[in-house]
Amino acid sequence: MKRLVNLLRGYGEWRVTGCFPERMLNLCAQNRVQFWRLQWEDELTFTFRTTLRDRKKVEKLAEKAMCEAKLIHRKGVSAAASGLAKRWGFLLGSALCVAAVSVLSGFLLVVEVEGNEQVPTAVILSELQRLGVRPGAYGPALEEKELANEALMALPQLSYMTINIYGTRAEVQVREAVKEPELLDEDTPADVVAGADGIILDLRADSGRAVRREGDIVAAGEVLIAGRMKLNGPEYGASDLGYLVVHAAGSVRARTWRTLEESVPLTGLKKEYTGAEQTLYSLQILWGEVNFFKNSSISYARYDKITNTRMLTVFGREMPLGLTTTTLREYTVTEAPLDVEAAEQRLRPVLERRLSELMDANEGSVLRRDTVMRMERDRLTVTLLAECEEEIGRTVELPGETGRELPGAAP
Amino acid sequence: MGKEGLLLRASKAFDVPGDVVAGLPRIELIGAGELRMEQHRGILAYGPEEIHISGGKLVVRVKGSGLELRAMNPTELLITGEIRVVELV
Repeated sequence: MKRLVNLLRGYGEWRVTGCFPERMLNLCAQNRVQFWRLQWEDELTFTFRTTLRDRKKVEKLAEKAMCEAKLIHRKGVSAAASGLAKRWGFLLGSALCVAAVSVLSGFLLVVEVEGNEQVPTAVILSELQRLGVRPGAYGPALEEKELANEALMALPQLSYMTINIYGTRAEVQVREAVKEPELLDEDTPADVVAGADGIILDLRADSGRAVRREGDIVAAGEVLIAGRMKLNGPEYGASDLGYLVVHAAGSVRARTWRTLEESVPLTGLKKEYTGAEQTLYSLQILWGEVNFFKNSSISYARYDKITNTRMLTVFGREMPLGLTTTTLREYTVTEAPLDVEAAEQRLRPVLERRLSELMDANEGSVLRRDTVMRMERDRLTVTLLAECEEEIGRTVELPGETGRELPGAAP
Repeated sequence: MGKEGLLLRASKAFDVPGDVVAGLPRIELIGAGELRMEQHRGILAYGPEEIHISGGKLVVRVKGSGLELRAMNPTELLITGEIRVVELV
């Protein structure tokens, strides 16, 4: 314990040489200079330890005792501190280092989003960035709760958000909102009409009066389920009860024949790379970008710009430091005849995609399909003929109000 | 008769300890390894085998081996080591 205290206080080891070294000890005792580890080297010399605080006192007393006192070692915390005091460059560096660590650790380096499935992370990050939660932002200055509330206002797809800042990392936890089911509007009168030409396979009227039946051939726009129903009075009665107006609803499945077309000109512009390239670099640091090509001019008339950004990753975490390489590739455009086969191959998937989207929207399926290609004038046209089974009922709203009787009104 | 002698007589007359009244040296020996002395007047000679301490009118000679002055202040000192002889001269 005593040793520890001495180390903390700092002590010096002295070598005292003189004709009467004992006098030096007596003087030290009289002047309350605490000493220990006294070792006699020879008759005229001894070494001992004193606290560094008594350094000047020892020197004075040695002079008084006509001895030579030489400080041979300095040890302990205060000795180390006084040694460091002379190395101001090191001290300054250490101080700057501590300041940098304590200040820089307050700046965000990473913003992580968790809990989203449907809403893209980029959308959430973009909104947060707009509000100031981005790499480089000073964490302690951010009001997490307020920012989360503001972000929620701007992102209705989310029902909950919390922002937690852990040093240089901001963790954003979100919960997605459950989509509200579409409510059936029963207050607006409506008819169900055919969305496409076809033969009705199955018709089910949930509300309203079916004016067509299975096996009927219908054209697009024809009313299939009417929202306006004649109210029949008692048999042999003469009174006209008018009509009951409802929001017609139901399901109408039909066999349809879809014709989809895509065409391209037979001559087109062909892109050819000249081989000339220019590569530009920029550095992404925190929230900013440092361009190394700010003043360089681009001499190409037509060029492709390919940008590739590589962010620094440490232990699987992306750091806000990256290098962006932008390659400018020059090309020329010449008019060239179209490769018919290649064009057809390119157009077929486009048509298939359109048909697939159509079937998805109408809850349908394709029964049979055929593709026809023809060249007219200077265009190549590819036609996709498809026999489908799909829902063709479309709700068309009508003016007026539901439930109103219109005595004597014509249908 | 000096001041010390007078005080010594007074301490004897009043039957009180001499070290308190007259400031006489007080030596405490703990076994053969530790010697504590109060009211000393300084070290006269120092060595690992012999230490001479002034006690005013008398000199205390401590003899032994590996003697070491462990602590010292204006009134007290502590000597450790293998003490064999304590002489009053």
